[in-house]
Amino acid sequence: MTTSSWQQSIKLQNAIGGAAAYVLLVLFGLPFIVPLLFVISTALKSASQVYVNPPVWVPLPPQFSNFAQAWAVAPFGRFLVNSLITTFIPMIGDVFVSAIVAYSFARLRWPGRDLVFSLLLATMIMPGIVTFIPTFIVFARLNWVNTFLPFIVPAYFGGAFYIFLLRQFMLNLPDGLEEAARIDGANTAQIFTRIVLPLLGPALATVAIFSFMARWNDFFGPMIYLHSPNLKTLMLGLAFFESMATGTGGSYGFLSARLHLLMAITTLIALPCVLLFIVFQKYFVRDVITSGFKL
Amino acid sequence: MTIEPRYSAGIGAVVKPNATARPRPRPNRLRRREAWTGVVMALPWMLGFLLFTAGPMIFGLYAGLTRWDMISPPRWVGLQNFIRMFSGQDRHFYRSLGVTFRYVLISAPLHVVLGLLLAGMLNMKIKGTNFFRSVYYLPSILPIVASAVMWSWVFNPDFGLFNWALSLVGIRGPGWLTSPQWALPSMVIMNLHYIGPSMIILLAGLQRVPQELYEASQLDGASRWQSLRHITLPMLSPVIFFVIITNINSSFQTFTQAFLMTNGGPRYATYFYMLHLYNEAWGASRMGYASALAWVMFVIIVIFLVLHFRLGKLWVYQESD
Repeated sequence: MTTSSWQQSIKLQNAIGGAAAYVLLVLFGLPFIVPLLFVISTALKSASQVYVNPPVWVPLPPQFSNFAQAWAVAPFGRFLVNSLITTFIPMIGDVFVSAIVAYSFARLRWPGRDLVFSLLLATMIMPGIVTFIPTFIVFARLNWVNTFLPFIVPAYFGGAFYIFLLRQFMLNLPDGLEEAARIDGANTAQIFTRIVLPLLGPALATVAIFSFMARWNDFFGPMIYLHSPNLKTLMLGLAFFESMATGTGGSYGFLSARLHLLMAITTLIALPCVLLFIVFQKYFVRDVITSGFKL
Repeated sequence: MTIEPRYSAGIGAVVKPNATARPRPRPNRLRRREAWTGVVMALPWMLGFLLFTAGPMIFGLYAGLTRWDMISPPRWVGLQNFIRMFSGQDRHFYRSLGVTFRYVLISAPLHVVLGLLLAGMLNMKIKGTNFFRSVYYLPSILPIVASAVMWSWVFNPDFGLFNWALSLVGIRGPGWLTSPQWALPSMVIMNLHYIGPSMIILLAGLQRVPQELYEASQLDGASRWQSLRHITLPMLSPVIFFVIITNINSSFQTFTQAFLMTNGGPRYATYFYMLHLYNEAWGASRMGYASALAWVMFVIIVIFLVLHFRLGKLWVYQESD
């Protein structure tokens, strides 16, 4: 076999491999994306098009009024405000307090630091199940049920995973600037706010996105702490709408005259996450992971 | 063969001491001040650890030894809660444990295998991998409540997407969430939608395998299978190890989807441990008993993690540097 025909056969092999990979990627991709389209399509249907077999994929004319109608079924405006409060106020704590703690682990030397840091790593993989109930008992004693305090207060003590992520990022920053500033007589607070924080931009954005997703999507926390109707978040509102629309605790039969409205509100509530993902994609699929794993 | 430290990832590296701890002669006064500043800056997390992790854990252990309905003061009952659990007086304990174990043992390995497969395909040098990466990741960012609503509709036996797709190839699909046999597998399928993070972490691991290793092995005449077996998998093992940890943790604590989609049914087929715990604590107001349940699950997960770390020593590649 000559060199060129050998190379050609390699090329052919790669081409076949590539084509097979495409087929597989598309086939595997369908169940990831079609259910989402199914929901959006249902959200745009009129009531009579919902329970039809085979399904109508492109409802004509699309019922955009479903969104407004669904929004009016429950006080979703109020729920939205509550979701914003329980997301953004804790998020500030998650980002900045974690950054302060991370700086201490990454750059300052103090006795016991490495021990405390391994404790932090241990809490990252520690199952949360064991703290839900005792924390609830204590917060209930403090009369924090039906307030936003159970979400806000703990956030201002920093989050283990965020601290870990930020520390990794800081370890990869050159420390020459900080050294120079210290020689010039700057104190730690000045170095942290004027030099380190500005350099942390991408890492802080990553933590902010993680924190947003965790808090915006949270269901369990709001469910056990927020009972009064005017404190409920969007996720509670959606779950409430679902049980109301389907008339059962679970969705066994899942037949409802308002299913298209349920799908409309589901689409609206998932939309901020999808938009965030589209805009900040690189933080999800690239930077986050590489910063977390550059150990 | 030596590999540059920047390629290292995983447990071995995590526990390594801080790289910045370089010896630097400094006056005592400055060192003491640095130590003080360090402790003060780390104080929020240390306090938070005591208040929201260690404190509640100990308090939960105490609560697990009491009967406590949140109205009257707690009453000390010793080990009675645990006896009630293990003696079978609580007929939902073993049942929910069984459901959860079955789910974990199917779902967690499936996540790793499919995650590896997808990561492997996305790591090929073909066009459009960025697009597919986003497609596979997208469902993972959906709120779990929205996802639960979506899947309830997709799994609808008569008008859902799944049974329609199956009917195209002439299969009459099962009742999915309405069927005692299929309800738990349905949950496993739904959970595959949350594969995005595992996939991306594995992909990042793949991309960090130094190309020189492959080139060298090709020169030595290694087949693709050999280089997968002797280069890719060992280099990736710390990442796989990490992905398994997160999957064990999250699948043992599955709650929201079961709570919303089936509420444990039909016929307790999806009655997850967390659901039982929730019903005991917030449904029946048995805070003491539920705390005991929580501790038992905590111990189970910790045993799993310890086993995982022990076994990891056998298969996780750790470079010596």
